[in-house]
Amino acid sequence: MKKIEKDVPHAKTLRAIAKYNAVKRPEKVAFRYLGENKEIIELTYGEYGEVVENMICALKAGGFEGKRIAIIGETCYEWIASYYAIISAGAVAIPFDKELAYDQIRGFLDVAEAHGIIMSPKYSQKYEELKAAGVFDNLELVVRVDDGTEWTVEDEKLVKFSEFVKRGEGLERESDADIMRKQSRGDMSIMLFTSGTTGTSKCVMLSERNQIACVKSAVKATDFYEHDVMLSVLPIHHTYELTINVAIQSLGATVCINDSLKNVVKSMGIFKPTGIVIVPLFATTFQKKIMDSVRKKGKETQLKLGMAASTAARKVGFDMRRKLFSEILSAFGGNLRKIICGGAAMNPDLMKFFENLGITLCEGYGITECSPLIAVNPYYARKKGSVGPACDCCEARIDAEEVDENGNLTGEIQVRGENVMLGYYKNPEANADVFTEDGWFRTGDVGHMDKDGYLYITGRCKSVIVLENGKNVFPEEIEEYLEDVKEIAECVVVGRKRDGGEEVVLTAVVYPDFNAYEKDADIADIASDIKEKITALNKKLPSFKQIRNIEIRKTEFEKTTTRKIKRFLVK
Amino acid sequence: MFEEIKSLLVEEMSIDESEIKEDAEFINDLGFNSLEIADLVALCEDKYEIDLDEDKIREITTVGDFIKYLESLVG
Repeated sequence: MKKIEKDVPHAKTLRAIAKYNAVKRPEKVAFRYLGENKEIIELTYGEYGEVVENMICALKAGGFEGKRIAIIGETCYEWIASYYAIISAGAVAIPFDKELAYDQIRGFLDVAEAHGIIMSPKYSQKYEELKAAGVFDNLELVVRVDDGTEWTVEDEKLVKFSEFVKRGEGLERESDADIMRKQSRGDMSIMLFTSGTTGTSKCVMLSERNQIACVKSAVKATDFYEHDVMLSVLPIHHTYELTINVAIQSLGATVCINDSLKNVVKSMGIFKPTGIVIVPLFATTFQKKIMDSVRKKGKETQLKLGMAASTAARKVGFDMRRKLFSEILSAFGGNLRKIICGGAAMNPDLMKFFENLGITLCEGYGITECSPLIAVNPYYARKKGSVGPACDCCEARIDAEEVDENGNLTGEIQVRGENVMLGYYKNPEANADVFTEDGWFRTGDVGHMDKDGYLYITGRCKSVIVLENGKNVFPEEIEEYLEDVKEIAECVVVGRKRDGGEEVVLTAVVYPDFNAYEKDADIADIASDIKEKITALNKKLPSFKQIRNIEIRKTEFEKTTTRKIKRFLVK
Repeated sequence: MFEEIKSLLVEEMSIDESEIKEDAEFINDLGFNSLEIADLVALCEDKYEIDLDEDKIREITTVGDFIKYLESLVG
């Protein structure tokens, strides 16, 4: 594929993106999603721009400039408009994971010194529970995105999204120059909590400039254009999903919203996207589904022959893939041509598999602290097994420690550039750990770089476990929960790969408190008792944090002089 | 209900029939990932014309518990 130079010079701020689209393509569909009765609803760029502008005015008139506002819930255009407006109004957006427990939300709101919260329609149904849990106690603004259903309001902090936006109608709008001035200062605009408890979580501070740098890089490194239709399936609070969403909008393309994980394939049939942004878990599941369906129809040989024939034909300039595999492609809506995959390690063979079907899969690499984009394997020059060269917004280097068996200088990947965070909020210790003396950000990922600057990731040097669905699990957090099981004396949580594949299974390596059992208790009985206790604990945790595998050891863990477990010894 | 879910798991999700037991865990024994669980939920919602609660599904680990939950909705 040829490289096509493209840029979005107007994309200097989030507001500039919304304004530009509202003027240049007011009738173009910005968002497409399903309503209550599964009818397709469309919102144009003209309408979206108005919502954003009015909300900016409403926030400023309400005195929220410089204040901090959380956004939580399922993806909807109001969530994204709130994100644009909060940042553009000179306030700070705090995107929250909707799977957080109520006490975590309350804790994070307190840590961030938040003043308000905006909730998506489905999430808003938890309003009474959230209120009872004291989540809103220290806030002055609670916004519920209305879904048309009636609810009585008996809280003066509470306002419907549509009413809040209306407050900004007819008010004087800020000049572009004022907004640019603020953005160029590089102030904190976004606060993101890494997963964990209030005690173990860190809060990443990003500026709008960080975000815009990534958006521009994403536009250049991917083959999305104005005519594209993207299906949004990942949780919107992830910087990965958010950044790609903004990048798609900066191009004036259309974003379709998938309403639930269970409807991904249905949504593809309805919205017929040309592109999708996913984590490896989706790519492997899609592949499995395709192969299952081919097997069931007894067409395995036919598929193999078809792939061989189309590869040969492509070498002489004929591309028959879309025609040959139209039946398979129709299961994904029929128009899917590009996949961006990131967030976790991906099986390199997936690139070839989708390529053979006529779908270009590009792997990307990022980390929340880098807003998040670091590298993308570019559509015009992909290399198998690589995440590509560093994007325009940054430089990458390898802090080489050793030479691996293939002669590659291997070490921690370090980054510096416009995308690197301002730092962790009120956490000088963590900041000192994560930046080198000469100012480079330590990613915690280990890998090497080839002569063309392409990065290859081979491992991690931090304890965080990255699951195939892109979720980060901090073992220290899970170990904290396990402290409640009194039959466990010591424990280390690790990620184990299942059957040599890419799927990572959360595993607790447990040294039981043998004093809690009869002297001659059988080890198998102890193991089954501990399993039972952990199963009960799992029910209180979101599914991605649940322990799936338990290994019992008969000896204590080796410890440092300060009695900390040497977790790097636990393989 | 067990037989219905069993045939759905075999036909739609290519699970080995011999592995499907009431106490089989979706993730540990049948090798499901979160997306496949979501798929199963969608299949059952269509088949029985019901709405399954995501929070409830999160608490379910075995085939037997899943069937009990379905039965409570189908009646």
